[in-house]
Amino acid sequence: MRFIHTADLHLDSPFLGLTAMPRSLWKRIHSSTFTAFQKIVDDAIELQVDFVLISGDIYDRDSQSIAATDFFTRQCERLNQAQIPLYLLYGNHDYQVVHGKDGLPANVYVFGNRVTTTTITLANHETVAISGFSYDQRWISEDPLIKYPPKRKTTWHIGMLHGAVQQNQDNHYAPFTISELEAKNYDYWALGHIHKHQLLVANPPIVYSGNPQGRHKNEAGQHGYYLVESQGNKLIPQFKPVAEIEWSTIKVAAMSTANLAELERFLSQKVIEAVKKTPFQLVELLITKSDQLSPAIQHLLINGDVLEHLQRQNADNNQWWIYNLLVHQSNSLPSMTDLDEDYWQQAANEVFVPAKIAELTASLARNADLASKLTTLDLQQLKRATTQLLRRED
Amino acid sequence: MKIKKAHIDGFGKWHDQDFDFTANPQIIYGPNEAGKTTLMAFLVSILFGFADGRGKNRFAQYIPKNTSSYGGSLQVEANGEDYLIKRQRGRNGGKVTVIDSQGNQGGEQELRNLIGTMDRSLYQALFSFGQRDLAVVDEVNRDEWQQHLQQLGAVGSAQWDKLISQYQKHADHLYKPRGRKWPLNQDLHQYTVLTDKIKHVRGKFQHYQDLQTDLKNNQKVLQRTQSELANQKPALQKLEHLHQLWPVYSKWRNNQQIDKSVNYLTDQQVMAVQKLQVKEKEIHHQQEEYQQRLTLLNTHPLSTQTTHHVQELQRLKERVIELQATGALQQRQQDQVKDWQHELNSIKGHYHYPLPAPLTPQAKTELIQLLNGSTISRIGNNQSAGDLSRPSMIGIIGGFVLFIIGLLANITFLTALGAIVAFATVMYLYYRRQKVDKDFSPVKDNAQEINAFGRKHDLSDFPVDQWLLMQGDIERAAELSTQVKAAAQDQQQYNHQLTVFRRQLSPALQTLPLSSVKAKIDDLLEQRQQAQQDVQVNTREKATIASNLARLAQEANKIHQQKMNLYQQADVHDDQQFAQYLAQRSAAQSQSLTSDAYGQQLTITDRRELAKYVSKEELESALTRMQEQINHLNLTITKAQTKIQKDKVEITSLAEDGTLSNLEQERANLATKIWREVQEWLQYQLAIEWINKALVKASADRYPAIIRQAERFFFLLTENRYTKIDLTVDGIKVVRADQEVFLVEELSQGTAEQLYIALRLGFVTVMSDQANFPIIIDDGFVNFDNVRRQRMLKLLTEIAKKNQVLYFTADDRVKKLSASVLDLQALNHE
Repeated sequence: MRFIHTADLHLDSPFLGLTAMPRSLWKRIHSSTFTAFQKIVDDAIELQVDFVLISGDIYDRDSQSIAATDFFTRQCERLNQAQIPLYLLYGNHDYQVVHGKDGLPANVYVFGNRVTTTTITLANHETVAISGFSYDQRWISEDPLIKYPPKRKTTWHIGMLHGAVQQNQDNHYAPFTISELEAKNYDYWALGHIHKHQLLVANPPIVYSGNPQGRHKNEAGQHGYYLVESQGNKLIPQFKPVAEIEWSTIKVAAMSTANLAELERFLSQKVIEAVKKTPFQLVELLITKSDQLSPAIQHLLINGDVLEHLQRQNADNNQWWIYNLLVHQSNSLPSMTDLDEDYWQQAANEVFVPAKIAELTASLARNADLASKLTTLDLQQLKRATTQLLRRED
Repeated sequence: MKIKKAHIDGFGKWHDQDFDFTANPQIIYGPNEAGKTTLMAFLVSILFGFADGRGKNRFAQYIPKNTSSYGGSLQVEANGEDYLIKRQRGRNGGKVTVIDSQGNQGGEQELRNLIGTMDRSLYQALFSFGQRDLAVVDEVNRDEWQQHLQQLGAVGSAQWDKLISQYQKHADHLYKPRGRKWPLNQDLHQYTVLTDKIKHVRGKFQHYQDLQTDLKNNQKVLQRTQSELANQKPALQKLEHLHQLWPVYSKWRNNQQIDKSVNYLTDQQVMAVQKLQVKEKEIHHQQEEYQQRLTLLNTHPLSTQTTHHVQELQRLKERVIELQATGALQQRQQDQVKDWQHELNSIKGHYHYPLPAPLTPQAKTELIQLLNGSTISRIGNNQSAGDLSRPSMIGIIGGFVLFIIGLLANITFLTALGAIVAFATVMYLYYRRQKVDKDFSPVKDNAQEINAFGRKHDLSDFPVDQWLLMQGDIERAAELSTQVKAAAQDQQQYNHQLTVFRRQLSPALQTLPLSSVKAKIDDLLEQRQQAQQDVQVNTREKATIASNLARLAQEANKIHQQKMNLYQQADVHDDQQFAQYLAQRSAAQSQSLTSDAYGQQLTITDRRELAKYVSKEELESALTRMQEQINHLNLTITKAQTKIQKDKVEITSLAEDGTLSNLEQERANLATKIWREVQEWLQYQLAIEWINKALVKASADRYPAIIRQAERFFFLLTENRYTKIDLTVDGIKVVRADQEVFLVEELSQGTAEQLYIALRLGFVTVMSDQANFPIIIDDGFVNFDNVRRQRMLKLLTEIAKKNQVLYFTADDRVKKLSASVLDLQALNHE
């Protein structure tokens, strides 16, 4: 038996954390979520897999696009033409009340909102039971595992689940524990929701396939799908990268120079040395030891001037793009002429508090998206940045 | 800082005036209009700049009216050094010169070093107070004091303030809560715009889903309709087949219904009729021809008169011939007569006298005897005259032949030649003949007897010798005369005959020469004879025709009879009816023929199916209904296909429309940018907050000291009646010695003023290590009684240990309280 496990396609969702970029890059980025899934379908057809599993979050419901729907339907149709069944469920991003397969081709099986188990017989007469359910709302706080049946008497039993391992709090995504999963004695757990591909348990495999294409810097590294093959009575997952674009961070210690052009050449060179050759890399450049640089250059580093230069200089290299430039900041507080460090610390305790932030950003918070983002502010990071600011002005 | 001396070059009412502020506290006395306020304004103006000319400040400029010089100088002591601060007319508050004790000269920067962050408003708020300020004591609150504390640079770090304002500027250049043009403001606006756009574009998703539904519905409709059409098509084809068969069927069916009782003639009979008709027609035709011939014959009837005419003409012809012959004789005779006459004339001409009568033969003999005669021989030349010689004949005939040939052959030359030859020959003959006629020779005889004889016989006139000879001539002459006479008679007779004859002729012929008449008569005669013959022929012909006609009539009758017999069988009465009958018959024949053929074309099923329809119309209407149904189905299919096509095109265009993706990414990018800007802005704001807070923390230590000092001053001023001052956010509370708590509002005006002064002075004294400026009190304590004023002065004296105190008053009683009083009134009077 051979099948593909993927999840979190997030088709046509925007890449976050980018600002301006060249048109060609934007096209590449925009098509990357599509391309990734298309590659998976290509592989499925080429490898003649027995079926394909998608463990939720095919679209972002909030921004479900026609292009995504249309594309996905066409890819399903490709699989249909190749007579490859596709089992899918909806996750927290594309939750919906499932009525049938909603216009998808005949080869597609959509899990309903309650846990169901479907069985197929493969060409080699092996039978496979697949259990799963689709989200009918954004949050599912109760543990869904109770509703999963024990292992059937089929050759294989696979569980599909979109959710997260139970945490201490804020369990909105079908919280489960690994032992619960193991207790079901399934041969494979195809999980979705977490975008970083990983094996929670190797045997029998409990696997997050990750999303096939990372969409912001927190989704750095390789992205792809799992090709799962039977070996004896075991199912062995094998990671297959498909992402066209990878996010990465490159740390460069600043050289000691007062020459901006020299610094920029140096940084470009460092990136070229450090960057992976494939796939296309979206690079965040982290500069350490910036204190070796003249204040003027430090300023240009911080105000984005250098980043713009580097972007312009490397716009057409077709291998990487620096989307952000961070200057590593020292953690020490400013030394003040005649104010004790104590005063600063006391004051910081009053200033870097959510209430103060809320007070300051009251007018900004009128923008709902910004308001929710403001609540996620890292105050310590903010304090570091502000310290940096104060130090800069010394 | 202490102001030791002041020199006014020109300021308000003061000009070129020195002031000495060596005492401390320095009481400056001046009644109203003495120049107290002007002097206070001068001090502040030199330190912090002249008021500009805008708004109400223009009254605070104190530009002198009676001198051109504006400004002056202060001699101050700061940080243990003496400085001369000089301010003159100039831009931005006047031109400042600062000269230190070493004579180093500086400007604004040096002044700033002396006065630090202090500015006019802060100075006036903290160090300078008058009656107006005391009136608003209840408005003082903790925050304001806090602010004053910081503004004063209580913690001694003016650069923090600079930094704060710098940050504020940066922050404001990024974002202002009520701003519009700042980057973050604009980006936020753009974000909203983008969000709206996205919302709008996303609205298309519903449309897309509707399209998908529509597409599916249409596909269903198409499928259904197509299968329905597939079902209906055979029915239509059957109906169409039946419809095609209908004419056959109809004919076949009609044939079945044709009345077989009608008996038609057999083909032989018909042929017989047709033959008869043809014959009849032929006969009729012949009859007509005969009739025509008859008519023609009858139109030229030849009268019986003809015969008579012919006889008459015959007679005339004979007569003409006679006359012609006579005429010819006459002609000849005339010719002879001419000859004769000619001869006679020649004879007579030969003799000059009339010729006597001829001698009788006796006389003649006598004469001969008389004369004995000489004979006269005569050679007959006449022979040649009457004959035509052979060459002449050849000439005439040849000429004539030529002439004729010429005429026949229409050769003019030959004609002419022939004519000439003939004519020439004729002319030749004529001349020959004339010549012959001239040969005469008279004969003469003897005299006497002769004379006698002559007389007797009238010959005397003539020579005798000629008598005998003459006799021939005379005889000849007589003979000729007789002949001529006879000829004339003949001529006359002939003419008469001719005239008579002519009278018998028709007038047209009367003038014609006989030959012509004869020809005419011949013609007429011939005609007449011909006519006569014709008449005979006609008559014969007519007879024949008549007999023929009779025969034909008989025949026709017979044929008609035969025909009518047959017609009776066919129940027709004439040819026309028969023709119709024939047409019917042949139609019937062909009908029955085709109907048989049709019958063969129809299967039993066809017949059964067709039998369901009474008429072609019914079948056609069924067919039409079916076709309409099919058309309707086809239309539905076309419509569905069109819709499907349209839906697909629209779906494709929606799917390929990258607008939403673009907008989403644009917004995501903008969000990143906004987030960076927010963080930057927030960093500035937090930095400001942080600095402020740190400064507050740093200055907070001073606060209790200020309150303690103020409490002490208040205690002093109120004669120990109030022990505690509590500065809260809500306001100031004081605690009386009996622990009673009062709000400022509850205090008497004087006590409230005392509290205010206590706080002010407490603040100033505590902060004096940070900001030491002269305290200017303008005629403060009007509400104070003497005791209070005494205590006040005592307090001022104590404060003067740290701060210079300049006390301006218009109260001359105060003058008595201190020795060193600067009397402005006195200065005015100098």
